[in-house]
Amino acid sequence: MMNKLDDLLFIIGLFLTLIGAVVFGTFLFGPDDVVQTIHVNRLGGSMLLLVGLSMVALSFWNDRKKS
Amino acid sequence: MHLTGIDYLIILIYFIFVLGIGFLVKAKMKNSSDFLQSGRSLPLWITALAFISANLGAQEVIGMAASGAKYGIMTSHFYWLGAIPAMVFLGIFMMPFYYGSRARSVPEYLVLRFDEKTRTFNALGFAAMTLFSSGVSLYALAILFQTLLGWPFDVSILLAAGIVMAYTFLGGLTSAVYNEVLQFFLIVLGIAPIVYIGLEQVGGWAGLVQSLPPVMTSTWQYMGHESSNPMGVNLWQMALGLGFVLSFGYWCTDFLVVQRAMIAKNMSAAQRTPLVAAFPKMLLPFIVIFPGLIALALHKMGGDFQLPLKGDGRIDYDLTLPMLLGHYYPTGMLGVGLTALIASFMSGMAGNVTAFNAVWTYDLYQAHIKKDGTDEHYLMVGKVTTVVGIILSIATAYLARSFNNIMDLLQLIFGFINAPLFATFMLGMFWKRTTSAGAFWGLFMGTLGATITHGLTVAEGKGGWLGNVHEFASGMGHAFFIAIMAFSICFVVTLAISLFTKPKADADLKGLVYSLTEKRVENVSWWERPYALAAVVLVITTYLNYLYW
Repeated sequence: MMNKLDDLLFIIGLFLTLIGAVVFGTFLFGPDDVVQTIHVNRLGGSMLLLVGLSMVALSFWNDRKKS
Repeated sequence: MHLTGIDYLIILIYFIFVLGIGFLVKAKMKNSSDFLQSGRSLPLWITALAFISANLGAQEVIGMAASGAKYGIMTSHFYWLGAIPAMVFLGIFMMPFYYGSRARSVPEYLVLRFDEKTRTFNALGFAAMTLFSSGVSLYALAILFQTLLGWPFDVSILLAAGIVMAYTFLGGLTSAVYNEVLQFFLIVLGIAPIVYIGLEQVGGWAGLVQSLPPVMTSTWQYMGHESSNPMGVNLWQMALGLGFVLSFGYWCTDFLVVQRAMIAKNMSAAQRTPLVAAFPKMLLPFIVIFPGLIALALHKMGGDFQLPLKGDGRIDYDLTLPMLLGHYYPTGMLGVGLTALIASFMSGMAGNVTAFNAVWTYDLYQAHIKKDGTDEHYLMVGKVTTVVGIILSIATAYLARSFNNIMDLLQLIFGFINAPLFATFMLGMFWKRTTSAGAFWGLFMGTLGATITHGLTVAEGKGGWLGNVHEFASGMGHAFFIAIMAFSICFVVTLAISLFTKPKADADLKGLVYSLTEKRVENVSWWERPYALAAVVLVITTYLNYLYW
């Protein structure tokens, strides 16, 4: 795990996942924030989580490729 | 705009990560090259994203949305005409010299190619420009958050400057670059939802075309005369001023962006940095300009979103993006959107300070004050310069608060320095006959010519302090004309003086001039070759220009 802290792809992915979780959590547990037909926090949180988790997964996949 | 605990939590997470990156990178800072040049070891994806992020400060993000609302899709010229071609030129033709010469900075290339006085002239101008720019970034951040959130001016300045100082002192250029990459993702993911929701609300591009005047949804059709478009420029001013002089002058010679390519791990990565960066760059108008178009369309539709007004009743375009954030984003995404703005202000500041650091340490301190210091000494100088650079940026931010026209001054310095410099580089890199005397006097006269042109011409009440020979329809047209004059004067003077002075011997110019440098042939897949990447980039960019004709 310490090695992963050297990996910028992992760090940025972790950051986006964390804030994506906060935003998505606000959608799930916070007050209703419907704008038009889109829940903004659902949309934004999903995007952040998707990109963040993809980057984390890619960083582990890169490690497997190298080893 | 009211932030809740959730929004502040997101901002806090960002600050923790930013400082954390500084601490993580600190262990790698073993010598001055690590601190000031990232050891020239960064992979392509990092250098490419940092390359565009270095030019994606909050003033650009906020400014492009403002321009989108004011000028429409014509604003995309700053990308599809005013950036992509120059980035391609840099990657294909200039990076082999920047990287191959082992120059540690753009001014250092000038001393290798020409002489010390040419390097020093450029280094002084660049150092002043980066400090001003850093201070103005800080000032703009503090003003924006004072206006939107009621944060005290001093608190914003000291908090932002303190965090930037911490992570750049710890991790040098690597820290700044890593945070620029983080900033890129924050900006794209922080603003993209607004574009999605806004387009849905206005009816997509077709809805924008229907609700806005035709001139706002066309890039080229209304360029026949200055009076036929809101930008107040004609085709020649746009093509020559922005598309050639300013664009190539900035993207090919400004050390702040070129530095991000110069720190790549090898020549191949260095050459491909601006080419790979061109792909996200050409899509950025959809993220940064479209919010402006959407805001204008919503304003015209007369719904619950209206563009903010200044005290005199005119639209305050600069608040377009913040107002959209406040209108569409609830707590949660509001924190993300504001964190994206904070990140871009702070990265803009860090980028300028680290570029200033390299130029000061190598091109001014080492060149003139202490030529034979140890590497430990220059590492120490680099760290001290980080602190001094931030302090000077804070001072400039307070100066900007006292003098409103400091931002105009910054724009002028920018045009005066970059426009003639490109003429110097073009002749220096591609004509071995260019002499040191020609280069120095060309640069000097080009800068002087820009100053005099500004003094003799007027636009929007600015300039004309020597007289009024011509009045331009817009500040933009004025700036483009000054850039063309600066470039032309520098080019002609450099050429003329070179013909009558002695050039360096061919042996001294190997690796510095196109005709005297061996062309490398790489053993890579066709899609990794710079020319192939460049061709794809230019085809897509041409298509985008056609699509939004």
